[in-house]
Amino acid sequence: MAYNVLIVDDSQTMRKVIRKTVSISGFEIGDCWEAGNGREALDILHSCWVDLILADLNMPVMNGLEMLRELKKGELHRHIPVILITTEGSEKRLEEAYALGIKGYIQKPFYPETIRDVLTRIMEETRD
Amino acid sequence: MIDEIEKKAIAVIAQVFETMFFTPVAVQQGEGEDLYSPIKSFSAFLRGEIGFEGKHCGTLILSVPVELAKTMTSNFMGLEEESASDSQAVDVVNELCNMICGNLFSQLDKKTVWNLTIPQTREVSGQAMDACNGDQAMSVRFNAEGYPVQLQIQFTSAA
Repeated sequence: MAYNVLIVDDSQTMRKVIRKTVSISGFEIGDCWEAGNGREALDILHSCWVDLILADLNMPVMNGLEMLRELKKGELHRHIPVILITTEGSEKRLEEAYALGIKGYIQKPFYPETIRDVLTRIMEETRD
Repeated sequence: MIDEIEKKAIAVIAQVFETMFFTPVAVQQGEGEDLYSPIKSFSAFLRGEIGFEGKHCGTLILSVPVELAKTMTSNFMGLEEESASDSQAVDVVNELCNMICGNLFSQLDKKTVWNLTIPQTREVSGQAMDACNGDQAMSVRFNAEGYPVQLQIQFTSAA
């Protein structure tokens, strides 16, 4: 089964690398959109059907936590699983992100196998 | 404390360079060279800076020769014959700063919330690079694919 994915990261290069890494990991991608910050991601969600969001935390304009707060406010998009791909590792910040509804967390730097395992597990849980 | 940060920085640099850029690194420690002075053997570097705030505050600076930054960008993005653009290389140095700084401080202290600024990278000549103040700074110099790379951390509060 292929999933529509939205990648949110302020680095265009990192977005391309994440997209490529997800593809080579064996996780099937349908449509894939990219956003440079949380605000752009919310705009994309208004017009596209997204199954999974992969987001960074540290971004200009609207960071990952602010985006999660906005997602949680609306009925339409709050069910979309969000996985953080970030350099952040502080317990408090991750607790805050989990409280805002993230389903998983991958720390940069990462191996393709880690991405595949986390994404597969979370999409299976979501389907159940 | 600076010694602990330096040891952790060396481990994090190796982890980031090898995992995401497939680039092994060899650290230079001391050996008669002033590690706090700028590297002058290359004409052009990309100098990335990122601020951090938490238990310690300051700026992390990474200086990478332009040629190496482009090679690493090609490795990172899986480009083959095609060479990486200047803006992609800048983006990669920003990401390197982000990964090194984020991992370094969260591995040093997971309980502290570390706020990082958005990284900024610009091209500088070897001569134009600033030296760090040795009293409140640390510097690690290492080789990656035969190029010299320098990581400096300038603290604005005591470490």
